Amino acid sequence: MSNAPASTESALTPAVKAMIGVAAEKVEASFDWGIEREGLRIFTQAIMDPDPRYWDDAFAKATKFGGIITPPIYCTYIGRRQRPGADDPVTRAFKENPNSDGIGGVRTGEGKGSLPLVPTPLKRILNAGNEIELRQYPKLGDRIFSQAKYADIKERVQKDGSRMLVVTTETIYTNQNDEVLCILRASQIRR
Amino acid sequence: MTTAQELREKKQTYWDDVSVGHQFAPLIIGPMTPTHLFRWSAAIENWHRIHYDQSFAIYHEGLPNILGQGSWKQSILPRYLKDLCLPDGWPWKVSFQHRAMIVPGDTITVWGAVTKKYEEEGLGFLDLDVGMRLQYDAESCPGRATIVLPIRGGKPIPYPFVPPKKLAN
Amino acid sequence: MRWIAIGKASGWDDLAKFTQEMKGTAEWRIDPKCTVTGVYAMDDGRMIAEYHGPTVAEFEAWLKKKGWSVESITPLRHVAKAGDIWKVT
Repeated sequence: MSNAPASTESALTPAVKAMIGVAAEKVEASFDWGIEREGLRIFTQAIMDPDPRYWDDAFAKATKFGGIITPPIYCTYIGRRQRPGADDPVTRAFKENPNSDGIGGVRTGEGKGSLPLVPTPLKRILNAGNEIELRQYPKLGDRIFSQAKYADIKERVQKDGSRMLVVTTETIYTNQNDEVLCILRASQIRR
Repeated sequence: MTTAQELREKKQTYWDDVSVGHQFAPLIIGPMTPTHLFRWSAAIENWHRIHYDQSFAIYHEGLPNILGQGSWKQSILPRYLKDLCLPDGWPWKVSFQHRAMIVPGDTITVWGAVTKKYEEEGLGFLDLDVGMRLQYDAESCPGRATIVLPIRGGKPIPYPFVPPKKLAN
Repeated sequence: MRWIAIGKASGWDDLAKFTQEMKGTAEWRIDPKCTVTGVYAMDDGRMIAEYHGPTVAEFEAWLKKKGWSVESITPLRHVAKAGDIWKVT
């Protein structure tokens, strides 16, 4: 059942529209040591990609990329890792809730780089799809920065007259030279 | 599954040699196992129990089994496009949605078919329909992609890639 | 909702036949919401199947399609799995 307001009321209120273009703080997603071989090895093996461009220095140097490369989508996962020195979030999550789903109470970051919430009563969230745009491959040693913004918010009217919002968040990943590595656009349905 | 040697020796596909309707060679992955799913969750530190705790997935979440991660799927599609473009093409962008769940036992066929072919600023673009089809014909990840392949005798594809102004978002 | 069916299925005491009937995803995933999550072949020839879905109708249809002679279908209340306790109503 949707939490949608009555069909005469638009869900795209002025307060919701005002979120379009709102950007979060730019934050460093990587740890101080940036992209490193071991994390790259674990990631590329988990996607079962044996490409020597990820591990064979001599071969990679002879390609147009000039050295070892990293799947750009790797950037989008770096920021989710647990920072060294933090209290163990998994133990904390299950202490707070023995029936934790493993992520609900797991807070690995300080909230920096997060966007403000869209002010809507439509609380049910569904993944409406993603887009990844690639510009260059991160290199070993690159530090990764990310900045998210609300790229667009649209309203759709369902067959039963209830309203839903489609919220598109765009996150730009850059390196220490401010070069764009990739752009991730994630769309969510709020209903 | 491709091997490291195949990727080392991959011959360039040229824009000139591809037509609308062309179906690129698929990438077959699987059968998936709980260990594959666990490995991915560990690699990206995703502790969601639906991906490795079968009892939780089935009895708490009402799922058919532990599930293949959407984040894994969204890493496989760019990997497939990268392979298609090697050595000198560029897998510019891909968009997709999540449909059929992937569970252990499933075999995935990653596929791509050309829907449009065009030139812009001297670069050869191909729009593709892409997806990840399961062994019982369910589509798990329908999407669209745009790749750039070199044109014979044409200019090299710039790296870092800068999309032509007319095509940029 | 979750149900248990008890009955008989000819030939399913043979592991090869049992595997053929239950191995492939499409054999036990009826549709996106309905799944036969477990089947047990007992030594006395009876079978137990566990199913979840919004209604029992899809389960009954699956059992019929699979050639079961059904003795009973009963809703489940709660389940213990190796120390994990689940309320399933």
